[in-house]
Amino acid sequence: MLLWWVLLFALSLLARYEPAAWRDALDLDQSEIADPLTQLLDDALVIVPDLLFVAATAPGHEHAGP
Amino acid sequence: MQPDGDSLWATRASPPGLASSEPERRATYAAALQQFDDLMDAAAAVGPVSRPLPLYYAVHQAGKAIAAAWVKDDWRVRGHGLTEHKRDRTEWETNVLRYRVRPQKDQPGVFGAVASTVGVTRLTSSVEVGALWSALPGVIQPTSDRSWPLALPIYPISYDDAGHPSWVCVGLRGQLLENADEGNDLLAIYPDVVGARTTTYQGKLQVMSTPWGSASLCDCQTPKSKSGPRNLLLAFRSGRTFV
Repeated sequence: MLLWWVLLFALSLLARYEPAAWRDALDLDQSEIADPLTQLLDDALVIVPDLLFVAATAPGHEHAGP
Repeated sequence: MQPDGDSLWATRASPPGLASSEPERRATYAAALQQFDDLMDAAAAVGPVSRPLPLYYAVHQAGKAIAAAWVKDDWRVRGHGLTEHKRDRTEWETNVLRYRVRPQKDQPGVFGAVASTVGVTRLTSSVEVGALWSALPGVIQPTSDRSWPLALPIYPISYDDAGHPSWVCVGLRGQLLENADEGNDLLAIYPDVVGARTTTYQGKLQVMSTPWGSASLCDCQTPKSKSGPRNLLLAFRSGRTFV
């Protein structure tokens, strides 16, 4: 969960303060990571709530972060 | 999003930890999770160019809820606890995977409070987006060029007398190994399996097929791997099967 947390923080900084570079990274016509990056952000909608549920209800079972 | 019986949203009616008995904590827990819910809805409604903004703040507010439930003293924690690692923008501008963030050591913020609560090692230094992404199990890889170590699934096959995994199967997640040396070089970058060696038979690397793709067999009973099996066992018992 903490890995996701730090990663989403970094991506939110890019989206907020570096919108041009961030949009270029998501340009399917030019960026090799555009498709996996889009999939990652789709997966986050499903995976992150489940990980937060574990952290909120059984925090000792959370595993190592970065 | 619609709550189900085993979800974060469902805990709003019956908060965990200290939020179950202290009214102020309970109120913060419920309000922060309501914000989490709204922000996740917003994240699902927008495209990828804007999605990280509501998604991150959803996680941040869920972190506030977790702090209200489990942090013993100063549970009204503020701040992100993370910041950009500022460098020359030419180092990452054409490859956002090289963008870096770092912890705010003097201001642990919500991230630091939750990391302490869940009992894990905190982020201690600057890290690249590509490294964070590669370390996530169960998602598509950012690149196929081994720029950063991937999280690899581990399946114990046998245990020693002390109950430590002695022989394991390590999922390669699509990485191709030509020989045992390549396998050992790959394992050497993972501290949880320090000293582990790939299994060979008549000099050939032993690879098996799994439902998750090709996997390499590895022997953990080498003199250097004293901590490796313990880490593996702890990881396996806690449900973490990745090095």
